Amino acid sequence: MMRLLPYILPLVYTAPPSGPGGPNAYFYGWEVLTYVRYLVDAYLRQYSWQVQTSLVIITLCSLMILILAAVFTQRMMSRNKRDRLFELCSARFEEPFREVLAAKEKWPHEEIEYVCKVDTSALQTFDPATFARLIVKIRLEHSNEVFLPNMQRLCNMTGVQAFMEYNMVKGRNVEMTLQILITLPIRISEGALAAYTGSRSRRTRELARSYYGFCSKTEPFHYVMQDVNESFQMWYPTMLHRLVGWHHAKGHPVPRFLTLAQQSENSERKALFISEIPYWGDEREKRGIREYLTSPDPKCRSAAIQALAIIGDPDSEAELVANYTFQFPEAKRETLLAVAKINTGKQTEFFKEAYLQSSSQNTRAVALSCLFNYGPEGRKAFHELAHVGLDDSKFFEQIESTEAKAEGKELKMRV
Amino acid sequence: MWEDILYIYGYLIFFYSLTLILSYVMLLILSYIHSSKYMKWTNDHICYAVEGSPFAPGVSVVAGAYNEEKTIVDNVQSLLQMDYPNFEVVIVNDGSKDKTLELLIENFDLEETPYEYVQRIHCKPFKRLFRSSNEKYRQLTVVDKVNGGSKADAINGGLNVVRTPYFVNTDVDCILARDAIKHCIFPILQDETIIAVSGTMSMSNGATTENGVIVEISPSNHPIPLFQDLEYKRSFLVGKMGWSQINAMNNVSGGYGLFSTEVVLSAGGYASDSFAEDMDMITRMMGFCLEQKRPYRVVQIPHTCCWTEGPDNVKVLKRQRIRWGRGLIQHMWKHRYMIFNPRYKRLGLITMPYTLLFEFLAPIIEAVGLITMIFLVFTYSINWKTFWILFSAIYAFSLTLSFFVIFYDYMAGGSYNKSISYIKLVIAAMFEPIIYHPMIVYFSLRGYYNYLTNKTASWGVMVRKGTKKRT
Repeated sequence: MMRLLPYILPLVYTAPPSGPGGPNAYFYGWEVLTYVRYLVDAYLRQYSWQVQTSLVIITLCSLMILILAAVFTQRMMSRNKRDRLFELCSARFEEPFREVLAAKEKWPHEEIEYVCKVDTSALQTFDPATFARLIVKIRLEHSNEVFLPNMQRLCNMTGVQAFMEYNMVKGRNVEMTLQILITLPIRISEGALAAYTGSRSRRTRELARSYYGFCSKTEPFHYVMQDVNESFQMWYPTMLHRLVGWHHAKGHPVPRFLTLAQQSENSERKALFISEIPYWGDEREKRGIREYLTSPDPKCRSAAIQALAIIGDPDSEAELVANYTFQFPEAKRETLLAVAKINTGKQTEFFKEAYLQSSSQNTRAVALSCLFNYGPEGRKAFHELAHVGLDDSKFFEQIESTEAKAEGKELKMRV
Repeated sequence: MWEDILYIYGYLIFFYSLTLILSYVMLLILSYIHSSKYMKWTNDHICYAVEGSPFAPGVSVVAGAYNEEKTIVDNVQSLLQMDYPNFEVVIVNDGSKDKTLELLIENFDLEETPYEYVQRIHCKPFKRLFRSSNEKYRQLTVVDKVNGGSKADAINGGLNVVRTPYFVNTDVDCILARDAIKHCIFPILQDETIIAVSGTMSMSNGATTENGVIVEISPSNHPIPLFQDLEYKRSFLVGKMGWSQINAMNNVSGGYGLFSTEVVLSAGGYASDSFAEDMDMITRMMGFCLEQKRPYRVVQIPHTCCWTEGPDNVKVLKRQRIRWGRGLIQHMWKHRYMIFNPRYKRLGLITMPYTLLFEFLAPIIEAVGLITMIFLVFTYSINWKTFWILFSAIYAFSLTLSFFVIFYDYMAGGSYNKSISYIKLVIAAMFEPIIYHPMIVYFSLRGYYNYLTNKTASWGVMVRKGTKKRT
């Protein structure tokens, strides 16, 4: 390119020729462009600059329309082709794949081949991208299950795993590939992922680190531990929950969340780790939650109360009740709901007192709702309170009616 | 003297047009950047991230209904079929005079439920609250209130019973995509500072539905809804999408938008006296966040979340656009203190001035241009060659813009499945600048005039034809 510069520069900066030297003038190479520029200049010079600008706009727009039409047609054709391929693939493999993925146990290769009515080598002749699309579609039908036993094997046999690895190594559609890998999820070579866990693009980095938990055999919770003091976005709890669930379902050890909560200095993280304990923690960890009932951090307190409600351990009831008076209003309501959920049947008086002592209308409503659902004793106390004469008659009617007809929807709905 | 005035005027108008063209080019680039970023998220990943999650935030779908007996049952059925793990539907019967409420009670097994109503934002008096005794419709709540004469008042009535952190503001005649909430909540999962998410809207006039769900969609065969479809796409996929990239959106449509309940309530809820309640609400929400020095973002997503039935004749279109024009001038006057006010940052220095110069003033400038042209014709002072060149430049740019919009729509997943549908849109794009646009300019000016002369305004009645039903 540098060698060509001496030839290009004089042409670019040469002044336009004064005109063709008669009917037999010939132009070669750059002269043609120079002549065209001369003609355009000569044509535009007769107009005002407003008209010149308008003519430029018309030319640019016409060119743009032609380019758009060409690109649009090409995209439409390639999308139609992909869709046709997907339809063909679905017609033949959707039902067999669904059967394979719905299985509760791991199947051997032969069984999968038998169900699909095709051997592995023949399967790998199909387009793996289309297979990936089909498998993701079926996977979403099972989105409540974190682990599908035959997913890895099916992806291996269909060439999807190799296709994903190839994309990652070659850097093709990395973000899309990572999203598919997280959705399935399947393991690929850790080396193929290594380049992206420290990517400069925040989105790629976050996706890669999320997927790292599924991919790594040596230290799957590396980034959970590393980011223990970092704040996080709303998608993170779901992803962490799925990751831990996946390992749990596979029988792998999962982190000690109580230890992580103690280690973290970020209150949101602490609260998140506490809220994961009821699902994956052992008895000792579950008991350890109680120490957070008096935590100076309101987020940790709330998380601890909610976690105890999920665990439903009657032993924690006394501590919840004992700490009730010292909680802030939101935590008071959560405590009431937690005690109602544990439901030992011994706390009717507690709910009554909570109703009578509270200055907050919301807290009174929650206390009444809990009382109404707290067995025959609670129901009786609810009706007794209705005659106390507090200015809450509409509330009593509302709770009685709502709880009976719509199961306390507005109180139970997570807000 | 007159010649000098006309000369300066010509220069000013030319600069105005060039600036407008440049602003559209900038919006095209910004919208491309914004939509490419969003489209890197696959639909499957978005669904998987939200589906079955115990952490999905609660969302209420709030819709006002006034004399909607023809479509109410189908539309509520459609709303109840939303695919989201934690949502409820709140229908506000805004004092309907027809059988809207009776049909709801009958079809959804509603029973009056005592309710301790606390008015958190102002609206006309609450009458009753209904819930379904049928487990199938457990997510449905119907609020019956006195007619407030505006959509804003109805939505405020609904907001007074909403307890979820986010709510969707929609019209009961709108058909929502089943995954609409998932797509709108997804950006919030990435960034909690988002206070509102606008989903792309399209016309349902050519749609076929089955049990309240769209099964086939093609552009309408009537020219008016077809032009509107193109106009909507341009507004959502280029205008809003571009502004969203630099966090300077000026409106989240009242037809479909997801909002933070807390910010809406803190900003005082919807203004019942506004004729552009959606634009007014988002401006006040942004103003509130700026005054509180609270970070915020308002986002547009390219996914088509909602289909709405547009006016299919000039009479109804005229009434709608006069109301919009009136709403715009009212909005600009009400929030005039924000214009060029550095305290309101992008809202005051970009969004509001742009709305003033290129949305509010555009119809006035176009009308003055037309009058000037007529004057020049009658005084034999027009250079026809120049005129046609200038006209062609504007027409070519308008056509290119529409082509980009159609292309963006296709790239964003496509509103339509068949190629013929896009050909219809291309044909509409050819005629829109010369048939539809002048009408819109005229209706906007009528709206301004009605506002300035204090002419009594009404929302009017739009007779719904509904969609084709598959049997």
